[in-house]
Amino acid sequence: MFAAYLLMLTVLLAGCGRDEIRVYQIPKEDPWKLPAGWSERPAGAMRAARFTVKGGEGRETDISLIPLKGLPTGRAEVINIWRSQLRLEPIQDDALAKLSEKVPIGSAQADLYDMASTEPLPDTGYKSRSLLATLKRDDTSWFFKMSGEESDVAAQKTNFLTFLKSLNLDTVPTATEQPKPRAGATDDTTTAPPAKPDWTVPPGWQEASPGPMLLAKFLLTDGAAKADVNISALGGDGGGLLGNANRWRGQLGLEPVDEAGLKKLVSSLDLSDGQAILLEMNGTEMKSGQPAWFVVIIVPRQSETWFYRLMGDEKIVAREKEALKKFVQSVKYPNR
Amino acid sequence: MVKRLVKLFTSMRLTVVLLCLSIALVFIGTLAQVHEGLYVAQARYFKSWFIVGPIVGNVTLPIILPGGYLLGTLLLINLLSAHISRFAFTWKKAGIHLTHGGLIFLLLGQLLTDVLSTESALQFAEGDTRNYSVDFHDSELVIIDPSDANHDQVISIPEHRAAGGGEIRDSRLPVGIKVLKYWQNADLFTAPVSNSIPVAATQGMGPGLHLVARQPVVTMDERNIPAALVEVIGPQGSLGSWLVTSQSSAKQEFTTGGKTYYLSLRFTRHYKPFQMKLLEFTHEKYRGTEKPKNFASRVRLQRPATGEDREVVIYMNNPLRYGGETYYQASFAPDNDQRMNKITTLQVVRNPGWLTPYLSCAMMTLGLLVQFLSHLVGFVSKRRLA
Repeated sequence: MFAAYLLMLTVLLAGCGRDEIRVYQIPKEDPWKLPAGWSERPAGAMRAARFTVKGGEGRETDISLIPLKGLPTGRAEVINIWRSQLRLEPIQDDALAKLSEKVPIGSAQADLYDMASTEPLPDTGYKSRSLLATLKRDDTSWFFKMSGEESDVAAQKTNFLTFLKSLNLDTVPTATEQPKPRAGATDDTTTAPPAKPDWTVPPGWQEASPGPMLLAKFLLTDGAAKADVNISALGGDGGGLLGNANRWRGQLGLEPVDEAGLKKLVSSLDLSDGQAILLEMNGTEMKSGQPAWFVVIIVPRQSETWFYRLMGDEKIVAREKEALKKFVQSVKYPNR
Repeated sequence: MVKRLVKLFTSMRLTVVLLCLSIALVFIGTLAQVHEGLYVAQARYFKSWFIVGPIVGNVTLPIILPGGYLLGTLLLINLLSAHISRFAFTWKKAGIHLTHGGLIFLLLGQLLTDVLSTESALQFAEGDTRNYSVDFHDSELVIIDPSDANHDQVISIPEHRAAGGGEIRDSRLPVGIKVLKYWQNADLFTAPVSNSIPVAATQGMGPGLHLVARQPVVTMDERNIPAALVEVIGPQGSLGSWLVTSQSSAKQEFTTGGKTYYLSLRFTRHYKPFQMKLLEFTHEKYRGTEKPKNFASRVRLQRPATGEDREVVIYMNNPLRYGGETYYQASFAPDNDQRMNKITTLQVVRNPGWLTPYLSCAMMTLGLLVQFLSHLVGFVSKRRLA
């Protein structure tokens, strides 16, 4: 029986050790070697990692690693997404090879595109430049992007190429997780979410706690009828207009459309510093089985896309559609 | 005095009092889960020596009650002491000894489970490779020395130590760490929001960020995201202050003695001698509904030391048992539909004491059976003789 006392004491002492400092060795898991002056930042949606480096006059140059599964890398339509952010004309597939050069990423070869805007962009006030390296690995396309003011990017180009060469893609996580995961969904969570911009909330909109991936949420009620406005911001083009449109159509029990079909559904909305895309759909909400109307306004920004979705009871959506437009026009985005 | 103590610890009265208190503890601890949450209530009521201010209903009672550890330990001492002082081993009482032995084994086994078992999660996206799982609740403040070409050295300070504040000095640490501020649950923002305070860090990612202190969560589907403002003190004095948070895995670095170290707060990692790569995650639903039919993770398991390299499919009710751990298909990212690389979550359970309840129940059953049969045989023999 004394052995039992001893065992109990040993177990208790072992338990006390949980508060002790531990020292252990692990295989090298550094996915990259950071150049001097670069700081790792919270990654945010869509990105596997994000860094910044200080430029001139208090500016920052942004470096992002974006893995996208199933997207082709060597297609003009993909490169045109980033060209459009710099207000450059779209290019055709046959022009791609002339615009790219081969650079090493770890032991692989990637295509590097060097793109610069021809005039200052309205949302930054300066000429922007982007270096975009693309690499297909297994079924994931990787996009490594450095963007910022033209001379800042030029000053960091050598560092960017050295950084790309140092990358060990085996150890770069391809996805970051939700900011507040459920129990069981753990690991390093990401991000400081994008800051809420200044906006003018229409009367009758009640702000509610946003769920995961959302930046803000408003509830609109009229008796038992309900609708809500969800606001989110995603990196890059946020998954593309066609892909998103067909996903929303699926939620409304509607058949998917092709590019031509989509063009008929969208219209544009003038903003103070550009244009937004407006998309409307009628259908049946799959979860509730109730008829629902869906209005989404998509605002492409330099490095991210903002989505304002109004969905719910037909009458409320019809009534609040104009309010949504005015709301989106009132938004003053934070400088990132 | 010794006699008194022996008398107290061997008394049946103590057993009854302890059992009554245990029943009360289970009752109060169960009710407390409504307000304090399962995880907090378990830690405060059952995994503690004393409970200060137990909550019953909505009322916090200004009393101190014995916690689960204290009651369990006293019961064990009571049982062992009674055995040592009162019972001499005889074959006639073998059944009683075996039953009591089973009970002792059960209590010790539960203590073993409580102290040595770990539950963690392995969350990764398709294409990712991981050689560690991550704790559900606990975080660690780590200082990583990446100077060796082949491996990184990790010095891990448990969150509890950091939560206490003050300065942490240890011969294994290259610097002193002074915890200036600690938040059990906090959110970070890139711009001011309501109730936010600017982060007072001078180095790393902290400057320019804004922090909102949150109430600790009590529900099981959320967890706290701790953060701390720490000052790093080198041999020549302060190197500055950094904000560390389990919200971000961004590495921050400092240099001392010509060496660069990484500093971060992260959910405690449990490293494995093998690695897993998520090849594919599938989530089947019943046609036309959102009801899940099956969800499965196809992983590649590689163990360099043994050359093991195989594919395993982990799905509902079909866990992988490997290396003393069990890997269950637990969940997946709710927004997987919008993701290119789907995310899965495997629950990883290590419980070296998992056999003890089975063994102790078998011992007690056998003991009761032996005791019953010995009485029955004796009774029947007596009747025959009569």
